[in-house]
Amino acid sequence: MGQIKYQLPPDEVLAPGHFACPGCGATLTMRYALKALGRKTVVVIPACCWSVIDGPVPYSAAGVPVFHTAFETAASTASGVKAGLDAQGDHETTVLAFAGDGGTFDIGLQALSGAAERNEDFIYICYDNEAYMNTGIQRSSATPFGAWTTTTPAVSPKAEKKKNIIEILAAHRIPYLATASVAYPDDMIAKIRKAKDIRGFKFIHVFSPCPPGWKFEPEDSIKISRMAIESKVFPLIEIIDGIDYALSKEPDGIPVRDYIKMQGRFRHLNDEQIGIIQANVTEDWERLRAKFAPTRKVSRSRRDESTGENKSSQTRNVTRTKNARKRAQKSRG
Amino acid sequence: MPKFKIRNGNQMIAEGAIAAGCKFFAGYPITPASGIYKSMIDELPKRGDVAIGAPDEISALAFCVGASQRGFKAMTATSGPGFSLMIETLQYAVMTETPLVIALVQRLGPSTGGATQGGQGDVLLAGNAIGGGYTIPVFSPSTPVESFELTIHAFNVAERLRTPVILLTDKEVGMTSENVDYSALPQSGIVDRKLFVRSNGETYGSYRFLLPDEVPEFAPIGGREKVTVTGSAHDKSGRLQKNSPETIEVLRHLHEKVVANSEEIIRLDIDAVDGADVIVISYGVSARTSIEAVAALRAKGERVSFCNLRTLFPIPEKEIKKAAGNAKKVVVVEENIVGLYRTQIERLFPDKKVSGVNAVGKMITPGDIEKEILSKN
Repeated sequence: MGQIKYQLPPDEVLAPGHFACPGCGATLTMRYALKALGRKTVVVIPACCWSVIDGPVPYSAAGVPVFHTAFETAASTASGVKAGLDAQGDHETTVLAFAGDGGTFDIGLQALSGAAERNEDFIYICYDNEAYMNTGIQRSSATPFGAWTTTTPAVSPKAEKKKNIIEILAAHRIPYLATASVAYPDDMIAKIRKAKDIRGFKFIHVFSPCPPGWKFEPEDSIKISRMAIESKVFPLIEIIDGIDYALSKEPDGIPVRDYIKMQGRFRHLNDEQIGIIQANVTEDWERLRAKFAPTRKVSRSRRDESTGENKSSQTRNVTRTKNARKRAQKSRG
Repeated sequence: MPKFKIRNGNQMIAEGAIAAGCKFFAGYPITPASGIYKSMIDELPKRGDVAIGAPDEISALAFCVGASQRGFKAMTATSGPGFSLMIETLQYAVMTETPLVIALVQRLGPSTGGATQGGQGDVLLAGNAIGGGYTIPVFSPSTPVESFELTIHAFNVAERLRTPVILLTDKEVGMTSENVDYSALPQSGIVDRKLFVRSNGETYGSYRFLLPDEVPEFAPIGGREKVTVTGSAHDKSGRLQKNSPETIEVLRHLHEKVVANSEEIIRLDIDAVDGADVIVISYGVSARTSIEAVAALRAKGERVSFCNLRTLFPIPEKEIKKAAGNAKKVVVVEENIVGLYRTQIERLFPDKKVSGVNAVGKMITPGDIEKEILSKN
């Protein structure tokens, strides 16, 4: 594999001197998000690592206005800020809600669902480090099966699967939904820029490694992110209107074990447990894979053998896709 | 033979809860209360009991209400922002006469405030969280040992009176570790709620009492008796009624059962000196500092009494007045801007000088207190 050269926007909106731990995925995510969105952005942050990372007043690393809000209110506060900007005729400023997995999957889910259902015109980025890291590594509903946290100790690691936030948001039929990873900044920035140009609710789920919480060396953050993609633990996808699924990068399909072995939070797992994780990942991947079939092709092939009723629903799908594409191309302003 | 272990207040609240028979804990991460969550996760499942992570604080307390209505002794732990979210369910627990304990480990507020900065700013919020002015017991430990002892007492009071109870500590008491002598831990009896036992075809009413200060007998929901749990105004059987005489009687009873039983709720630590000129009143971490200041002044020959308010609500009016005796000056020491609890003390002493030693965003020093005690103003 040759050397990868990224064409990142040169403007460093996020200044050095932040409070993050070395190797923090959330901080790289913010850096890329601000590169993609530019300085005409308001960031709304609920309680999470980033309420500390930005720095203590009067210092702020973010280079844009930061609205620190209560834990459960990121999506509601962002809705309010956007409504205020609209009412004042400012349709240029981008509103970005930037929340961790606890504030998204758990306590903020109600506000998030409301904003998605109303199709509020802002971008919501969830940087998912798979636990409450800022308060000392407690399990969230984003913590994967088998992981150690301080509240899912190694003697009884997390018994439940990670909540599928993507399917929850897809069910809201929002115009744009994507996953992204700090291992692929060009892909992440392209997705955030695309989100910026689409009207309505945009959700981007970012895989965000946490060296102290996952127990690995900070220099391995990117490697682990890449392995999450290649092992199909965290596929890179886009979903338009909650219906049209597209794969951004075909995974190599390395064993999940290789990804798990990198992290101390999985150290206690035996072969059987790793087998369960591999089986879950494979099953989820197959389910996802089935959704990638291009809508047009599927609708054409099915039309031959389907009833008139089905035909009309397939046609509707195609229409939605066309509208979404149109919307995606339409510039804001 | 002393048997020392290094423990902080949060750990001792968890140990006290387990000693009191707590079998259910629901937690949500928040500094500086997460240590209780962690200890309960480590300990309860080992005993076959339940400790669970909730998706938010509203759920955490509602979990406890549900478990308690099945007969389990239940607890949650939080700090200011989480407590704010719990208030609706706390009121529900008062209305439904649900025994449970909330450990509220205070940090600098309001709002998100300072997660890692101590404070004593939630004292009146805890004591006045219930619409209509209903009193819920609020206890305030100042050491790991008191945390243990008052947690057991909190569970006992909750069970005995079928009421939610708040254990109000602060970041310093919760997270500061010190030597605890386990051979000298206070021994307390354990109280369980009074269960309804059916006799002679008697029917059950979820909220039945004869005299207003009596506590209704408990039957678990989903058991043999028809139980109605409701936050709406209700009669003694739990039937929803707006303002029938029986419903008004139930509402008065919610107040009466706590106030009339104040004496068994109230625990104070009074260190009175005959003929004292000044009494220092404090609670939580500030009580620790006050003890140091009082001792230093006594060594210099000053006559100073001291009262550690281990019970904040119901307000121990009689006991505080007695402790003050003929002292001319009352000094209330607490870590908030305006002297929150001082406002409750002032009205007890219209003929005495009541002053405060306060701080916000930093701890009070013994020197601050000594200066105020000696001040002629």
